[in-house]
Amino acid sequence: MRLLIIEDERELAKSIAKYLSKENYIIDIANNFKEADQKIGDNEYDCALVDLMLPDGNGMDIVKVIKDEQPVCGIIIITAKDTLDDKVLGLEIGADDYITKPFHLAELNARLKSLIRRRNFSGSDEIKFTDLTIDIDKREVKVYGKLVDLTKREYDILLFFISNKERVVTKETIVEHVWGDDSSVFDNFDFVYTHIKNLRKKITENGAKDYINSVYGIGYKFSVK
Amino acid sequence: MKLTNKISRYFLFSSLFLFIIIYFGLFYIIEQSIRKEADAQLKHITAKVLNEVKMGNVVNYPPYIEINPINPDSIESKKPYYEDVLIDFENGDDNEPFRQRISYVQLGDSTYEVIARISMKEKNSLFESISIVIFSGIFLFLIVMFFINRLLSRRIFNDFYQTLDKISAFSLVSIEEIQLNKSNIEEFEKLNTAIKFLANKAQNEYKSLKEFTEELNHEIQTPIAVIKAKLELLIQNMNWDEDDLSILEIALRNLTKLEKINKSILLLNKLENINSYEINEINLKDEIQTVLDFYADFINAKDIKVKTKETTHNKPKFSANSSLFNILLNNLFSNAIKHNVVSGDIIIKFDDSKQNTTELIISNTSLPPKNDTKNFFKRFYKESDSPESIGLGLTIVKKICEIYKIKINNSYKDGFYFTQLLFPKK
Repeated sequence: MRLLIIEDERELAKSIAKYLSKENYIIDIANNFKEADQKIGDNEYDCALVDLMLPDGNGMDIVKVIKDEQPVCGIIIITAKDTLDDKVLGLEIGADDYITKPFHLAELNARLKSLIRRRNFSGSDEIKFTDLTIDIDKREVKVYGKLVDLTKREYDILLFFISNKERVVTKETIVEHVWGDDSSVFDNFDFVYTHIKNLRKKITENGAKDYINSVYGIGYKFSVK
Repeated sequence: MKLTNKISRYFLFSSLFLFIIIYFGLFYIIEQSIRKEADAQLKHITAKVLNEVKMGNVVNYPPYIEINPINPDSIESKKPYYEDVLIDFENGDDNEPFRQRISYVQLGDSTYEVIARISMKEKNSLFESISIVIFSGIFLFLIVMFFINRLLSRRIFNDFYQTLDKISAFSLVSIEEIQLNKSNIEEFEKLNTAIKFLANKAQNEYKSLKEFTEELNHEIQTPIAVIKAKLELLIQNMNWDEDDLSILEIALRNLTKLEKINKSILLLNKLENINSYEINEINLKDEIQTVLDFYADFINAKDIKVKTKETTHNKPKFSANSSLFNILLNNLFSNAIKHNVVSGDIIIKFDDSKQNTTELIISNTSLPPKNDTKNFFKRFYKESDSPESIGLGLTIVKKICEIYKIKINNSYKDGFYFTQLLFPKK
């Protein structure tokens, strides 16, 4: 997996690269249009993150370049402008997904993974995590081949956890991912605890290990360690 | 009161005052000269009569000339004098006014009083005529004033009223410059120039403030994104103790708040350009159900019961941009959940029976507000101590209501907080 991050804010690009470093991707960073153009010419990428606002050009044009030169490359656009026009236009010219600044790294990671799965680079619709198997198409979870009956929310939380395995995710990030941006108006995320408690119970009942670790005050870490 | 009316009122009062002075002055002067004239004639007549009498002729023409013997002791002085009297000389019903001169004459041993009189009847009719002339004058003056007034309002003030209409219709938000008609009246042209200057200045200031806010909003997003990413990387470190984690958590939470404030201001700014939003037909009940479904987990977490009361089985519809309308309902219902009590209620009431409006009342159980509920719509107003509240939600709601001419009211009564929305029917 080779990934290109096109982002003029160096620190943000570095943070994204660091967060994704656990995934064993080869990550290139381009800080402007020129660098991006050059890198696309030199290497083949599976995925690109494109910031629409670049100092020396429009990110939309980069999307066009990628689409022309590397049609298999998946594209997620990063937009600072919270305007629908940019998103729609970005998707129209071939971007696969978009994310609005400022975003959670865990959210970006989940989007990226989902895109990679959709593009089917691994050749399978199944995700395996030790004793868990998730069928993305059917939205089914099996423990040792046995079907676990999860609610929609529980399934979404589990998938989000697995996308961000071995990382701490905050309760807020989970809520925004599973319930949507509008849910962030609430300051009380205690109800997440109930969903996670149920999820944990359903998985362990079927013989899987308890991978969900609470991180004091902040959130959770899905981990085999 | 209109300016022309005000001016003519002053005109009217001062001219009425003048007319009254002229009226009485005229009376006085004419009366004086008539009297003077009459007195001179009476003196003349008396002299002639006395001459006749001295010549031995009998002169007696009542009521004009009377000569009566009198007792000289009954009078104080023999000086002639004038006076006004009323005499009923024809035995009629009317007493006629006379001017008379009484003088005394000594003929032999006897003293006589000589009375000469002139009828003053004509004087009254003269005054009547003067009154008629004066009052006709006033009446004519009133009529002329009335028409001058109308003419002034129509012709001269026309430019002024046009300018006034333009100012009333003026919008800060509009990108169009204010267009005022030329006036050939100097004062109004000066006024137009001043208004144009002021309007352009206001529009430019507004535009630059808006641009500044937008730029600021966008500029802030990048540093927030960097801080957020760095903090999220920091929490990945597993060596933190609980105190460190709590510091990180607070930092992240406040960053989220900053992000929310920024987004809300961005949205408020965007709402100004309403023309750019497409209009969809919205089914109110379905839309509310969507929002309730969306918040189901939050509603259950607080054990809140949602009840719907309706007077109609119709499906009230409304035309608005669906995203904006969704924001409106989201804000109202998230408030109804956030500020609710545990095991409380949310009651949704529809009334479609009114002719011009569809009424929607959303009420929720809540603790009594500390301040007047009208304050809730103010920018950055916070009723609760909740640190996550940024106090812009209802400001956004109000703005969206303004755009779609929805009347919104709120109140608190008997443990319930009410939000009333009146949707105009087409």
